[in-house]
Amino acid sequence: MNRWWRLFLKLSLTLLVAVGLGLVYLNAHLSRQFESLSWAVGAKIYARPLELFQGAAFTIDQTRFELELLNYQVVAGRPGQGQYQNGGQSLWVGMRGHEYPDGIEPDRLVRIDFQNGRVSGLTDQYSKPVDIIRFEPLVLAQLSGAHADREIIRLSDLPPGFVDMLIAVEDRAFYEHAGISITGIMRALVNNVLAGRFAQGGSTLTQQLVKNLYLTRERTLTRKALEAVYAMLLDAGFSKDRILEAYINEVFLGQWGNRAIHGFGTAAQFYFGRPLNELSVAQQALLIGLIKGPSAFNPRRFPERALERRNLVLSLASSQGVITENTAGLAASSPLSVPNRPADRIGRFPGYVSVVRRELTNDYTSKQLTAAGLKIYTALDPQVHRGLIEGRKNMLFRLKDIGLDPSGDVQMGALVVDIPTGEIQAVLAGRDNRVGFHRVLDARRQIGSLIKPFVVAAAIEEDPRLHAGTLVRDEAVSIRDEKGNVWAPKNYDKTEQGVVRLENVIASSINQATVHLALGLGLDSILERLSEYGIPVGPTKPPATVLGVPEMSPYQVATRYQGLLNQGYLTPLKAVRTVVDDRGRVLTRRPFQSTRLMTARAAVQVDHMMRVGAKVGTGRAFGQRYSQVMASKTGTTDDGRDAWFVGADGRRLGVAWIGFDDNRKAGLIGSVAALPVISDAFQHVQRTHRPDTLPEGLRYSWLDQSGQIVDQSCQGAEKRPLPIEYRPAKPGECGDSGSGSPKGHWLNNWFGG
Amino acid sequence: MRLGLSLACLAIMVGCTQAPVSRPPVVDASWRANEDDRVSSSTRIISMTAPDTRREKGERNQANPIEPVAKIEPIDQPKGQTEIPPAVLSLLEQADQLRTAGDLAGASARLERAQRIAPTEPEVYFQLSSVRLEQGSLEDAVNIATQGVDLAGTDQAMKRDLYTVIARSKDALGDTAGAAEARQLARASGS
Repeated sequence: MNRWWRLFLKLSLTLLVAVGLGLVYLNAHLSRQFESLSWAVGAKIYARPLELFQGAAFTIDQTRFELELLNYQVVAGRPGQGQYQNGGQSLWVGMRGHEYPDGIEPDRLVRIDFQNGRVSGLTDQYSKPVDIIRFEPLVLAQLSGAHADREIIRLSDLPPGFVDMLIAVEDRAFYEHAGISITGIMRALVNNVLAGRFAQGGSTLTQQLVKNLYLTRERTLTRKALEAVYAMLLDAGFSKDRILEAYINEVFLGQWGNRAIHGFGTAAQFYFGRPLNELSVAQQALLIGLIKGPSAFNPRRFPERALERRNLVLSLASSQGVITENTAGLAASSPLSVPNRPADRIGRFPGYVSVVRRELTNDYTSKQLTAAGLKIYTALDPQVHRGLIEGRKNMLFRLKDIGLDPSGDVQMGALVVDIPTGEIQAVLAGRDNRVGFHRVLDARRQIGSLIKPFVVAAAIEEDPRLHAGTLVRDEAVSIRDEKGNVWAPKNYDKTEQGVVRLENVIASSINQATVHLALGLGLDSILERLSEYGIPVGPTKPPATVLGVPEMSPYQVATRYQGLLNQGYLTPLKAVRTVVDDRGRVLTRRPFQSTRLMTARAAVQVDHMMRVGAKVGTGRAFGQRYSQVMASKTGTTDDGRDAWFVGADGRRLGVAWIGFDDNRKAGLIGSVAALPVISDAFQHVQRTHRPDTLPEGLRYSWLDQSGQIVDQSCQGAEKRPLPIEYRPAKPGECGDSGSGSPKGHWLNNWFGG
Repeated sequence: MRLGLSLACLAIMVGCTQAPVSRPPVVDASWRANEDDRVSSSTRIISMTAPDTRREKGERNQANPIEPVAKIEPIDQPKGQTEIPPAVLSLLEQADQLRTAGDLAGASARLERAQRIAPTEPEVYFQLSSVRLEQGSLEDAVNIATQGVDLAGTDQAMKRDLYTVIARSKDALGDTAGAAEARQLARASGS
């Protein structure tokens, strides 16, 4: 007896220790998981914030477009936060406050006046002028991790009364119970016995959280018991507020494809496209009502049921004194106001996001990007992106004009860059949004005539006496290499003009003249300079290099043209401005840098030749579409395998490539296929003229059609930047044009004979 | 004779409207040009009378402005200083305060914000290059200031300030010759 008793004691003790240890382990495990909750959030990628100030080149339509992207609501009266009022030539906006890496933008009411396509006035609600405002940036994407797509909110950010309403509906005794509610369980038990099956949960918020976080969905008694133990442990280990915050961010509120909607912040964006604290009482009640059954009460699929459920929540809340009967009545009579689809006005940004990821791969692990709650601030410009998307659509549509199947596999890649800062504003990696081969970053294609501006720049650097009017031969040319192979390039249109002005080599993209130019200055020196400009000339250096044999990606092309069109100053391209961690500390900042690509003298002269190209040359369909002074260059390779276009205004530079991934013949032409993509990219932004300031060493003169320096009053005189060493013509001094053979400044006759 | 004429032409910078046509010798490089190619690579043998803007390798990133050979009245000078928009002024002020407080990264962020608004404003490049100098990013300081010089147009005082930043950066880089040259350009840019 005694022995049995002792054995029993021993066994009990062992069991107790085991259970105790188990609990300790469980508690530690639970706590650790719970603590790390807020960390498992994928990096969020933001667009550039819209900044407005007096004089900003931004129209009221563009501003409205951006406000709609950010889901600001039009109202008739005084706008609250996240709302705006439309007034002809002005907008009243209740700006949302937000934190940007370099400072906090307060929430405030501002008035923005517009005139002639610009912001003409910016004042606060007391009519005091405001220097500059910055809207919160659009979220482009969230890199997927375990808890991707989650809008984390703090208790302090909840709209007033939200928690009371939640508790009134889901767990009245939340602040009193110890994780489980005996009365709740008893009630459920009675109901279940009566029903003869497991029908009711009677769960507290804590139990629901536990179920969501740690347990499967099956309804068994063991699971129910485990859930109760977990809930009590959690309640003992953490404050009610911590548990409530976790619940609010964790609760399952919907499914969209393979994306689960967790938490009220995410749900507010998913169903209403706005932050939770801007939702009306009725909208809040709808979200709370979803807890009971996200699919059964899905307002997009079952609007009647959702409305009924919402109004039940409202009446529950009012019967418990959380909201007044009056408020509940008003809210219950309001419509559902759930937009059809999640806000998706300008599509998604897979091409751009890939560039962002590529930029960050050296500094961040994949885990950091998908689980560390980073915020990545980029330069994506929604207006440029919108234009580029439309350009792509147009381009694909027009393919049938040249006998290609628009639904076939013609591919493309395009990007737009802010010239002075090197910031990448939009990227399209292919013909659709499928993430696969990234043509902007990874396709290496022959650049064709896109090389010509660099050949001319090299020639000018080689011999600074060259200028736009220098005459270059445009005749048959053939070269025999060491192996005896003859290379005899022809002009694209198979014609030749005998002699052309240097600027036409670029503007009309003349092959034979390009070769004569390179030969005239020394092919080796030209190739060496091309190589210094970052054009991959390769070790064999074939003469055909000067007509664009080198292969480059659209991204690489953009880096070189950025330097060329930026007065010769190269700035590394970047999509990412800043990366901050989940506490707002700056981890990465990519400061502005600048190096020399070529002399400003060469760059600016070539830039002007590209302006002629956009005005009357191969890019005229681009340049003549807009009233601003633009610059452009087209490129087409053999059999139309590649179509290229580079176009720029005073601020931005776009590069587009079209072709087949397998490099087969496509019959494409740069000015036909690629030009419209970039042309459209400029249609929603305020364009500016290419700058007319000249660096030291250049000044404006006038040239006539034969390339002679003449007075501006002369017939056909055109203003061009010329090396300062050339004396401008005297008033009335015109060239003796019409005297037969072209006169002027011959490339290969300076040296006499 | 013709060579002399051409050179004379160039020397007086008249643009050499027409030199008598003749077929220049075909000069071979690594490839052979065809008989039909009336091109020449004899450029190399002509001594340049026009000031040479070519730079040796390694000098590429340095300031090397060209001095005009003769003072000719400007015929179409780029527009002078324009007014700085209030938004930019406000950012410049903020940057200045942060810089004084020792927050160079913060100052740099404000200046880059200003640059996005006014990318051709030389004052922004002056401030930015000064901050880079203080940050010890000396090559960046030189390059950004050089870019500012090109944007400064006729603003001599601005050029002097920018050349001074270049000189100080080059001093710090140990490039005494470059620093001296920049100082001289600063002085030449006026009081």
